[in-house]
Amino acid sequence: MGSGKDQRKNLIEVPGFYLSFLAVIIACYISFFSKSSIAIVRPVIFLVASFFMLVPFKPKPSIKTLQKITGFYLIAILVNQSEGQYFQISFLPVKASIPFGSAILLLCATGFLAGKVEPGERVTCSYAKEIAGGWLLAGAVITGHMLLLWPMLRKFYGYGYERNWGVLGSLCLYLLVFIFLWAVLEKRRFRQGIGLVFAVFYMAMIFAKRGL
Amino acid sequence: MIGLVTTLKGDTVPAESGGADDRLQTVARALAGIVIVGSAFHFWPFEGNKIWQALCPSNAGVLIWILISAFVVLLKRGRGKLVSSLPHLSVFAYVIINVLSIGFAGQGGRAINFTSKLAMILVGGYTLFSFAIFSKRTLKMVYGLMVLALATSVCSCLVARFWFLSEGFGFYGNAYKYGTYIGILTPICGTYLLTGGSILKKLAGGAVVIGAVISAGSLGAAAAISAAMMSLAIICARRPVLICVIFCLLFAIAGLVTMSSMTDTTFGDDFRLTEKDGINLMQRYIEWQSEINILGERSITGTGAGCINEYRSNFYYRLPKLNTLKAFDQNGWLATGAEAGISGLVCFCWIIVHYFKIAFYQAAGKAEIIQAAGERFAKANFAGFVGACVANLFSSVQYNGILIIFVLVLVLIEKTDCFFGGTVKCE
Repeated sequence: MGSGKDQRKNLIEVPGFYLSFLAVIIACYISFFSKSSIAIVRPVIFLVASFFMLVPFKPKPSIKTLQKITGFYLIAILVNQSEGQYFQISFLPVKASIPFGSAILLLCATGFLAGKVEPGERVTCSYAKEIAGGWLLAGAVITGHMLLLWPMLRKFYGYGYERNWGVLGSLCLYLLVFIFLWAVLEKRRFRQGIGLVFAVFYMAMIFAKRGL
Repeated sequence: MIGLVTTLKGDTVPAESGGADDRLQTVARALAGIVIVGSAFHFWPFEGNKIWQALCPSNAGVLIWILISAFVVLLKRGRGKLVSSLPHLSVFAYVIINVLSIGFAGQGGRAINFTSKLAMILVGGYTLFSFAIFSKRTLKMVYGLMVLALATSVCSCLVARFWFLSEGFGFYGNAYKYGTYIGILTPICGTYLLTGGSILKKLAGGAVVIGAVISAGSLGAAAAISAAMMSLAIICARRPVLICVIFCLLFAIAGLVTMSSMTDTTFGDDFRLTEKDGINLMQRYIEWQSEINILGERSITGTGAGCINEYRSNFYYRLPKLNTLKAFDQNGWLATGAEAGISGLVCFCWIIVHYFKIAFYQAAGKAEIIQAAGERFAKANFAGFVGACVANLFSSVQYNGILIIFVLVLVLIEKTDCFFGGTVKCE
């Protein structure tokens, strides 16, 4: 019997949990049944990583953070694989093509917004600030190099700065995936749930010899 | 492994004490000495031998330590202290991302070889140094060993370049690797000596900085040393130090420019935007752009740890490939991103952010440094860390033989914080 506040909190968190979970399942489905953009040469490694997600370690902040990073990496792979693939909505008067990656991101974003709890109640990770600093530095490193190379390369044949936009877009995409999933990855059930999904997915991939 | 990881930094570990610890510390101290001094010799005398490259003195020392540690863990003697000497979580996160990236590597052998060396040095090397530096006296001893390694490297390079013209010793064969090696060690040792009490130490510090810049003969080394020393002078905000640093750097760069006209150095070439034909772009910048291009398509997956050479050519697109630079003259930052993907780069940056924060707070005097003696070490560490970050632009700190020195800088930052008070809790 939880208090009214706890029940309200749980009700708020439920959509966030399930929408993110649904996004992972859809991403697995897409990756399994469509041609992967990047070949997964050794799915066994990811199967082992999935088992690592499943292990119920004692609630140590360090192990939990490593599990969260592994979880983020496994989900981000699926987003990467579904980049460049679109699904068409034909029942509307105007035909629309929506990239799978955006659809997954949209689900995660909805889950993130729906599952938002009061700032005082939010579970914070002790390493979150430093990881955010890591994202910031990584972005600065990539952008800094682009800014340095642009005046040098612009006059040379073969240089296409438009690729830089794609790289910056990818950086933003995965930063958003990270932001949307980091909070929900805090939950042990979510980590174990996606661990199970990934274990099944990579086992199926090994047996079906897909992704190569 | 699970047992070790469950008690990573941040989780309380009861430290055991007694004879087993003392014996382990003695072994660690001896091995750390071999590793630090041995790093100056690099792959000498069997440069071409792959087995020797993997088991050169600095790598062999770490490997022996890992075997001893495994034995200790099995015997459950001194295990607590061993576990408490593990690196920060960011290092483990980076290793995990590299391990996972093997799943995408075309050449499994190369990726596994690279990742195992990376994990061995990052975790094993860190534990070795962390265990070896158990008091202020041993901390001081390690700085002395670093000065010895740097002096050996610089002297042998100067002798080879200006007198005997023998290219077989140490890092001399590759100006960029040598530049990265001394780009990290020179700011640490230079600052350590320049901030020393006696005039003799100050003179030795000046000589080390000038000798290192002249002997390196590359823009990467000059930039790393200059940036590190200047940032130190700024953060120090003391006029004598600033004057001393500016004098040393001016003298060193003047010497470098003069010497580069006399001998064969890469310094002049490094400043050119185009190749010697005057038409094609310098290969270095094409490499940098191709590494950025890889991030566009293989954003998260990367090419797989250590497998950049396998894919890089595919991402030149229409940019010309000239092959004028030797292998491994990569930009360490972009190469990390290209190999381990964005998440790998973020984890590497997490390592940098974590240790930079500690080093900066110590050097700027924002951390509560209890003893004034700690100030000298803090400043030396900060200079070394800045040097490593800048040197990583022109070559990679993750290269076999250089990574161990980068790890040593990380350990020194943490240990200085431990012994002189600050942000990191020490067992």
